[in-house]
Amino acid sequence: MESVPQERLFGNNAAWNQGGVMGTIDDYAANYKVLITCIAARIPVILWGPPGQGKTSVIKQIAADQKRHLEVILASIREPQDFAGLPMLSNGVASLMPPDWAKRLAEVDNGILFTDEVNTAPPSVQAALLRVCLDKVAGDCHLGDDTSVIAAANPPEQAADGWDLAPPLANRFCHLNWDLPAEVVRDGLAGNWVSYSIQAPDPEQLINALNAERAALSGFLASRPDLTTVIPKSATEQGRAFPTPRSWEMVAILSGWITACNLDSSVRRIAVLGCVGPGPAAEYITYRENIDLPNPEEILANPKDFVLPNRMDKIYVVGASLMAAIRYKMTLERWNAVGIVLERMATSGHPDLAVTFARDWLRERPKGAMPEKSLLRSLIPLLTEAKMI
Amino acid sequence: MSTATAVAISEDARLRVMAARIVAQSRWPYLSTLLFNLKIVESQQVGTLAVDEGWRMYYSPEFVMEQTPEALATMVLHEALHCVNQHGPRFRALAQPAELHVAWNSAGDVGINRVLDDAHMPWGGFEPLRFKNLSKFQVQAEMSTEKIYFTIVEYINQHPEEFKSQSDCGSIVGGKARGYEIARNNSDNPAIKSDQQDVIRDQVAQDILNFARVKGIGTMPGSLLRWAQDLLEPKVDWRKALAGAFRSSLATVLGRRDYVYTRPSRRQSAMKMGSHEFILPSMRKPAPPAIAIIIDTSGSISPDEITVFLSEVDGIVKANGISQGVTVIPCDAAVGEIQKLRSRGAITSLRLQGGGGTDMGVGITAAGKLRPTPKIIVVLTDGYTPWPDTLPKGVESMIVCLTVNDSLETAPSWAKKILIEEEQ
Repeated sequence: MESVPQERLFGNNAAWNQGGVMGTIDDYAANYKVLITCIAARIPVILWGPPGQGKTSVIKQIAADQKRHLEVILASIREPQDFAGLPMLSNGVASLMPPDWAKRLAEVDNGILFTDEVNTAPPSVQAALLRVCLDKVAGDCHLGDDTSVIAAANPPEQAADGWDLAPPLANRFCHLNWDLPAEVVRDGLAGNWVSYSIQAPDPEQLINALNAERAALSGFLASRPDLTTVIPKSATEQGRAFPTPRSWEMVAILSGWITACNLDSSVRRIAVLGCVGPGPAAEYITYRENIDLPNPEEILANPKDFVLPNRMDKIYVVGASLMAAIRYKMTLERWNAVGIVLERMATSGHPDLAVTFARDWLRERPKGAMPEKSLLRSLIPLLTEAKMI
Repeated sequence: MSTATAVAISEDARLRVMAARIVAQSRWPYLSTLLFNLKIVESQQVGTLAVDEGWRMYYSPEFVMEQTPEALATMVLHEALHCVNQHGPRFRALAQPAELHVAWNSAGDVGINRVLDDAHMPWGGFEPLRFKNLSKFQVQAEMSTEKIYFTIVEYINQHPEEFKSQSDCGSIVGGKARGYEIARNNSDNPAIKSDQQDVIRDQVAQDILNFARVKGIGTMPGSLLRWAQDLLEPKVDWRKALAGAFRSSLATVLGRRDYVYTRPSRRQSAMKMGSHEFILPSMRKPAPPAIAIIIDTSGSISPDEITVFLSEVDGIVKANGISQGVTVIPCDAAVGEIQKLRSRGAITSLRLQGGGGTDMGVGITAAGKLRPTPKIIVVLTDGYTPWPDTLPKGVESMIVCLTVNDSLETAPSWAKKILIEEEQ
């Protein structure tokens, strides 16, 4: 066989795959809604993208929609004292004078601070910025916990003098990739820049959603403790999203808000991915998807009461969990219970799912066990068709 | 045909599609979630098989009855791979005329069929579209689907008379909804929404990675494994990583163009207001630092690799404006001939002899003795070497580029480590 690079067969999937990378207007909508949610939930958010993607105008739009005061600062043309405060000697005492924008943010409720080009600012400016982003403190002035912090950065390979974010700073943000899809630009130039908004959640619903999300997350981390903290090896990856207790906490808050605001699962996927990175995000979302499925032990105890989920992939998950359960502890009774579930699958329009599991189920039957005739009758046509008997 | 025969064919055909799905699932169990999410719908209007944007799979009962379950299973996997590859959204993103979806379909099909052929999947009597069928378009196997598509379109524009409609896999590959498609909210077979499809794809990718971990990576098509890795464990290209490490080293080494409070600002005298005085920082831009590159010449690194690597470093150095140039130190168990790199062209004429044992420590010590002292040392090695405990005096940063994954652990923790991965 000639050596054709395999990954090329599927084309430039790498760029397509990385969840947050925008391709279509749907991806743009999802990223946009995550941004709104982050601002509303006071989760610091950073937008990665080349210059000229309309980041500033989107944020102005959101600030106007939420009726909040916005300060826009370009970090790359600022000096450290613009963020850390200007040292002033007065009567032998040095104090740090806050800049005007910090005063304004401290005076209003629910302000928004947007710092652009954070990764092209000189190192001392970045260091000063850290405290603003992390503690919401500029000089001697506290901006207030109701302030939302947004940052924007150019990917290091696109900015001549840009570099990776320091891991402690990176880990405080939800990371979003911000490239305008061609569709959005096309419509925008025709005078129709799309914008999105979300409904403010009902406070009680929000609290319930946040509690439910924390419970789900702690269940997930109990089953995957190795994902609690994963520090990536390379500096570039450390400058993006990775799992730590803090970023999982951000996941719980954002995902709770997304539930309370009735946003769809593409928004959740990108929000979780932006906090903890693709691998852990996919695992958590799969866990979350299947959290409401019945416990296999309960089904085995009362197989006749079991109601099939209405989605085929969920039935598949249930079937796989049942097979795992009887393999863990095999008795005649448990084996027969699975037979009842398989028959239900076969007779309610999913004989192919039943056969998928029946193959192993028949092969692994305990001594003296015989499948019910009615089950076999429902499976045989398909087993024959697939040449499995 | 009488109604009774039609019903009989209809039932047999549905059974055959289900059987094919079971066979497909047993071949590639990691696609289970996706395969069982395809809703199967009979249609008299499709010629073979087709999938729509909502992952409903339509089949022609006459066609499926002519296929064996094994061959049909291969076709089901073909349709599933359209779903994996997001051919629909990718075509939409290209913003091409909708009627050209047939060309896009061909471009997607050849890639998918090659994966299936590589896995020795049976096709029965059916002749799938292969690269050899597209030879007149000058399509190459290593092209991306997008590239193949544009190559075909270019040919069509030049020879419009030769273009005849190819097979159509349905709206999963883009274009407008087909006439036979059922409503998106059909109560028996509702469409799967695109956000749910993303979640399913994520799950398939996890299943692929788990399968590869348990059964070994040789047990599945390499392209699927790569797809899953790209999706869930994206690797940063080493060039990006190196450029990033280099920039941050340059930026932190002596604070290239930065503000300092250790020297008074030139405008300080104007900063008095009554009894108050503002303290301004001054700007400082030290001379660009010298850089030394130590190259492991113990034999495990190919000359090609070294050339690629050096051009990368030279490019970064140029971009960051280091006038001092770069010193190259070949090193095996002893230090070789130290040479200064003054231009990109000089890279190919470097003399890199070696072949003995390996000790990067002596190279690092030699770099420390250069005048002016290099602020940044870059080491290119496979990593099977002893390392010093600290950097030589005056050197501020070290970037280690490793060609072997296992060496990431043994290289010193205070160095910036980058794994150079071969493109396959």
